Amino acid sequence: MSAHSDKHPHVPPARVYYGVGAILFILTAITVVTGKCLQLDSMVEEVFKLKFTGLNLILVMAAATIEAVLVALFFMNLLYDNKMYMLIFVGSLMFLSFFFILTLFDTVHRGRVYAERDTIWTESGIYDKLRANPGAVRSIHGHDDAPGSDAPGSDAAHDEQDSEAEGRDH
Amino acid sequence: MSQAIDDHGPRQHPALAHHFNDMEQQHESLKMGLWLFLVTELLLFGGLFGVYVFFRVWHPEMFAGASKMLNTWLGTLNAFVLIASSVTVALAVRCIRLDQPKKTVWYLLATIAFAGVFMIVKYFEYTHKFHAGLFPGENFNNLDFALGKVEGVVAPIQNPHVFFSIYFGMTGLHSLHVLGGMFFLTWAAWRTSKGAYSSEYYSPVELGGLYWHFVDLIWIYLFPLLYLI
Repeated sequence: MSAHSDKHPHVPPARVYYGVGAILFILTAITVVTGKCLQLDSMVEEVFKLKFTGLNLILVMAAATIEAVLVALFFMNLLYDNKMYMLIFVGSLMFLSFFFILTLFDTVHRGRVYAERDTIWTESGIYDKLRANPGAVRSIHGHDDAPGSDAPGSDAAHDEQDSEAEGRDH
Repeated sequence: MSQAIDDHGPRQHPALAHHFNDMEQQHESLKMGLWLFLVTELLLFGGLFGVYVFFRVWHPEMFAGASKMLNTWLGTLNAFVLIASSVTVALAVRCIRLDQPKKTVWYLLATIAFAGVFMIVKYFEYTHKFHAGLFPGENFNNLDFALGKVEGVVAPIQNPHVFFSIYFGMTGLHSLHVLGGMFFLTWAAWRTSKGAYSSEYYSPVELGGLYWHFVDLIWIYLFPLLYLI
């Protein structure tokens, strides 16, 4: 038994829990009022003549994040506890955010890649091999039609793009 | 090592497993195990939050329209109920650390009662959705969107069933967690009332509390994402 030999190490007074609970109630109420009754974008535009989009989303998510931090620090005791637990939790959150950010980079900007596909096909050297050996195109794209005339940026490439765009709507 | 403590140290707690040196080490190990479990839970829900985020990025108008069918006030009530239950379970852990098992039992029972209110409200929400034909996936059977009868939604919405698949998937999994937490906390309250826990040994109460706070954390994000924005 070392530094923790005193009988009740770091037991916060009950008013800490009541106080945090009250803040959580207030933040939730703010979230509901913002989400349901306010149009922050148009309000800011009227008062400050500034154009924003998604202010409601930002405010609501900010309030939720403050709530989550309060719960983790005080209710889950991360503030007073061994910092190893904090490391485990924050570390996993960090990797989860990598997952979100990297996937969003892909899915949000994929339309731009489709638009530039012709350029990519003609400019990137990796496709020279395919041009030299047209049969390989079939195995990559699974086209039913003969790939012999399948030059980069031909109709077949567009067809595939269209069918992918449709598939996403389902 | 353990034998040496047996011989020379203070009386050993009966709950101390033989592979730990002392109660503090055992408690810290249990807690780290629970945090690692919470991390796997976070990844489980993280995948579902990912589904939400990506579908919303692709079809923002569908999300904005379909979420109008949810009852914000019932969702708000549940948010308040879960926060209150988080306060009571935090107080339960505090009381057992201060050697007040009676108060601990009462706080745990209050937590379970709040959890019950949460589940009852969810039951009413779900039955209302089922009556309105708002099912997930291909069972979706509600014409209000196609007929333009949803209040506040001007243009017809395509594929609103996707939103309800996400809604039922995420709130359903969360409700299962609430049920699981209720069972665990009931067991912990029963054990506390039998005098099993004290300031020396209260790991199950604290671990149940941590799990319960995590369930609350999920709802803190789930509620605004589904009901409000």
